[in-house]
Amino acid sequence: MLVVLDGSADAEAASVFVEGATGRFGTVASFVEVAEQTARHRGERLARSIRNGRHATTCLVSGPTQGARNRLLAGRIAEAARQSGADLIVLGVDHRRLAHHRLAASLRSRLAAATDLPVLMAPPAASGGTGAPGAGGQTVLPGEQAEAADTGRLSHV
Amino acid sequence: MFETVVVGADDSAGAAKALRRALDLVRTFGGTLHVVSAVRPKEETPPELPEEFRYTYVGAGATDWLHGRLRATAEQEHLHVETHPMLADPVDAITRVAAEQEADLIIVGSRDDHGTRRLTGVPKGVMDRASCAVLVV
Repeated sequence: MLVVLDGSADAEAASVFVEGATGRFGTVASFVEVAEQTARHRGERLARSIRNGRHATTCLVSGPTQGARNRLLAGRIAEAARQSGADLIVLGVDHRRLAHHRLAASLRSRLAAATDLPVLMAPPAASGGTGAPGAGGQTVLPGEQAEAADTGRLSHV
Repeated sequence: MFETVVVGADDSAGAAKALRRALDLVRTFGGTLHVVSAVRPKEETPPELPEEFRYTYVGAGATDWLHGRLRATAEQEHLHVETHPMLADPVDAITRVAAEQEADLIIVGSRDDHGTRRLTGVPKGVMDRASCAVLVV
């Protein structure tokens, strides 16, 4: 599997999720760390903190708009998956990056169009689902979930 | 790994692929597969019609046939499959069942009728609202 991480809390949650999967089934995972030119310092600092001794390819994208950067990123992720022979892409990136920005398509839409591989969105950090599947992470009640939707956390997606 | 899996299924090509993937997972890892098929309620559905007849009223014959086949397959292969025919918005239905069943994974399709991969409202909505992992196939 190819695991795509950035420096967000969602990435750390995804990282734990993937470790659970690889540790249990011996799945071979290769990692791509995402950093943007516009937020280079933050990206580099957090990328180191989640690297955790793993070999990872850093993907630095730059562009004038979020849409341009997403387009580049989706293409590079698809290419990295092809080169590594992955049969699954795990996206552990900030949910805001997964949202579309104004008229630009979201990263997930770009990626879906760029590859035929199944794409797994790791549990978001906000859900408390930071543990491996079945590890008994904190459950979000339907009411809380509705409240999160009402507050517009993802209403712009 | 994935003890409780929820899959959204209808008679589309994308859903068929999602369903195949979900059945493969349950065959491999065991656990329970919840198949959710939701039909959006029509405005002209008589309000006095009992809930159990409403689903049939909106013409969900293809889904009923699919669920029948799934139950037969599950019985034949000793898989634990539960079907959830619902009269609701598909995103609401899938995320509601996932929350109720404390699902580890939701699987949704992303193919249009021509086989082209495209994220439509249902997979997007499920990804936005799910609190567990979502696999888009």
